[in-house]
Amino acid sequence: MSTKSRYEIQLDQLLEACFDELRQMPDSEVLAGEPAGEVRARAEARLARATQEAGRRRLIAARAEAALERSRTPIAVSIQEARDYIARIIRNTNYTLAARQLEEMSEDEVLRLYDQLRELEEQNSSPQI
Amino acid sequence: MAWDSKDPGRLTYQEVRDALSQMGEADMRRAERIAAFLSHRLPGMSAEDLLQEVYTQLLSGDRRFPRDVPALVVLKTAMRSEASNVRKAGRASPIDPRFRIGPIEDEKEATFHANAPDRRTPEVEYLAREELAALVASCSGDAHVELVVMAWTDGLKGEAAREATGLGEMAFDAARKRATRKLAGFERAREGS
Repeated sequence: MSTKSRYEIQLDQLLEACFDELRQMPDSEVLAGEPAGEVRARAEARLARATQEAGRRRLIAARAEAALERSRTPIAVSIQEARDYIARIIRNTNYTLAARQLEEMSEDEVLRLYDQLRELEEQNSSPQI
Repeated sequence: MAWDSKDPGRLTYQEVRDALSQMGEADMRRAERIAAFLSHRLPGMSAEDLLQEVYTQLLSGDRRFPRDVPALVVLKTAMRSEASNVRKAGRASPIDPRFRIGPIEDEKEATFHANAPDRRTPEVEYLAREELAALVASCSGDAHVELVVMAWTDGLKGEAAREATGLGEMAFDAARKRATRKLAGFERAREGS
């Protein structure tokens, strides 16, 4: 089913007719006296800006994809490895967690905290946009 | 979004860059004129904004650049689609409350998709009507041009359009050239500069 409104269809038809006319129009008439070099300089500047923005969007998409992948990947460490990792991070950073709290955590909590710290570490080591 | 290297029918990133940078100056200007046409009354988007957005989408891989299709045709099609999307997104808010994220149904693909209702809302209809009215108004005061625009709006082209206007060949040719210049903003200062 078409989701276009009556006016959108009319706009499309008008555009197509105008586009056909523009394509048939001699280049000199299209430029209408504007130096070709100015048109090219404008297009090159547009391409440079678009290239930069496209790179930024690809990076954001890649990060989102990585985060999604991470959330789907089961944690492949033992509880002891996770506890050791958390303890090491706590020692080396300014996160606050008493050693006794870590010992009292359930296995699920340890694995969740491990995952969160890994994610934070990865974010901190990624280049900022 | 992503570059699908298994799709031989689309240009690669480098090929897209080459296609855009190797356009002739007149085609570059034609693309700007199409952007001027399409950005009439478009909420929050100038002609330059529209053109740059489709450049960006083609370069990021968001939009497919088909192989063996002239760059100008790809730009026109992409701009028309983007203008329609902008119109549908509405002018009031960047957040559309009618648009909601649906559940992930295929775990392998795990693609978030949106459940969009039928977007033929009164506001979309209103915006398209306003845009069309603004384009037609840009031709007002020239009876022959108005006739040509009416025929084009009805989807008529060439001889069928001429017959519908009731104009003679010479008068019709002159009027369709004037109509193109008015619709594509030849008389207006370049937008977005």
